Amino acid sequence: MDRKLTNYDLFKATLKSFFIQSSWNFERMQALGFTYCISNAIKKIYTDQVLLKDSLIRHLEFFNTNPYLAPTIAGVVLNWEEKHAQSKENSIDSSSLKARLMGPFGAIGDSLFWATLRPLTAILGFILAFIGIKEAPVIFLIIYNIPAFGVRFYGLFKGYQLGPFIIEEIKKFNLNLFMSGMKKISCFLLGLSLGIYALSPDLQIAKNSLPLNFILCVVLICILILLLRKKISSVSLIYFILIICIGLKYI
Amino acid sequence: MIKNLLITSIIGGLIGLDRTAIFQTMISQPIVAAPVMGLLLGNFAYGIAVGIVLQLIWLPSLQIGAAIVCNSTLASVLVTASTIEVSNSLSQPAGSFPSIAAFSLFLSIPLLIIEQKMDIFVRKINVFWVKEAEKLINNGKSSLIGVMNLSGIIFFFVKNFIFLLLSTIIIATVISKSYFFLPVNFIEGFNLFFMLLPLLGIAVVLESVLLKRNYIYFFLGILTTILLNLILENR
Repeated sequence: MDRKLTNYDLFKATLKSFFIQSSWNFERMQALGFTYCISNAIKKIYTDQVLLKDSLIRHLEFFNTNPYLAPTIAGVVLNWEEKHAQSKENSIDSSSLKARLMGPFGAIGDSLFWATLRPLTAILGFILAFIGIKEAPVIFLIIYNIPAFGVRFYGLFKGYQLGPFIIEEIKKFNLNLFMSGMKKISCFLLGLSLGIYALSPDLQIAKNSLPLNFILCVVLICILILLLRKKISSVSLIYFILIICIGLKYI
Repeated sequence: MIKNLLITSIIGGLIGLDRTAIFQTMISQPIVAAPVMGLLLGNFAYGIAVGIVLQLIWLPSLQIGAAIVCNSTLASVLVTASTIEVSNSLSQPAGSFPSIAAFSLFLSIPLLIIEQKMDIFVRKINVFWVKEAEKLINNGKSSLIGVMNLSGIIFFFVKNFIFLLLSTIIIATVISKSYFFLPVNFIEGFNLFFMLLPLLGIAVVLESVLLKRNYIYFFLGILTTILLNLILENR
């Protein structure tokens, strides 16, 4: 198959994917952002204006997935559209392909980035800032964004190269094992955070007694976790803690 | 005052875009947004302290699909800006920072709930750009898709700007007018509350990631700090 898109076209599409949620709305979600992401590449694929119009209108249908993995779907779609433009053999059009991919990709991306990488890097940023490293925000941004940028660029290029076979490529990474490992590191870092907080000389709940302060912090954490498991929201807990704190000062 | 308000509303509004509308590079996380605002308003230390306190509290709340969660970005910008503004205007000693920041957070939460409603409204009306893009493509003007998509950013920004401008004015005014009338016990209570907030943050994240099979790693982390503390003390 002749490749109509150059690496530069794919690079531009990836850059545009950073704006995939610019017009996010409840009705179509990322649809316009996705169409914008692939629009220039689609124009190169379809020279016939009617086919081009049909394709762009088709992509304005409902679409939503994880923003970091959306470029991968864009790559797969471009591969598919290119095949579609060259031969009419494809029985599945790109819209159904998108619909099939967005759910699983959304789930993978959300668990990988929102539920695993973001907590891990944020806890690390929290610890670094807490121990007084002024560059903590920058370090947090670098650690988070290397994989985030990498996945966006690699995903679109690889998606375009492999088409729907990208799924086999993703399976090879064994993401579940990877995420389970990252969660273990997050737990370790949370242990470190609690230890650093409880042993911090500036933050003494029980004055002049480090062991007592430490025990008090552990007890408080256990109470807070129990309350959270009772489905009490963090906003309610903020007010609850405030009332207790003011009340304690009156006793 | 006006200059600081504009910096807060414009820069804070732009940082807030990273949350949903553009990039998702995490500059919208409190640990980054609050120090940036602190730096711009002339007090980096206050910014980083607010960032530490607010970073973990809303971390597990996921902005996935149609879910609208408490906007920790605007919360951190608002608390940092109003705290610095009030501290400057009241010429308070540095020790009063935690109580002013805690008071600001206490007042911010009801406003953040209003912000959630504003966010829902923006996400409803943003469909306008999709409909416009559809019309333009049908009329053969597909080159304007980009303009339509990027125009969605305007609604998100205007929402952030208006929210930050009004809430900073409200919170800074309320604190400035009432801080001196607060009983000492209240101020001390606010100090203790601000000190305990990171603990709530740790509990919130722990609750979301801690599984039975990972307890060992959590306790290993605590043990590591105890050992490090003992080593450092005996040096």
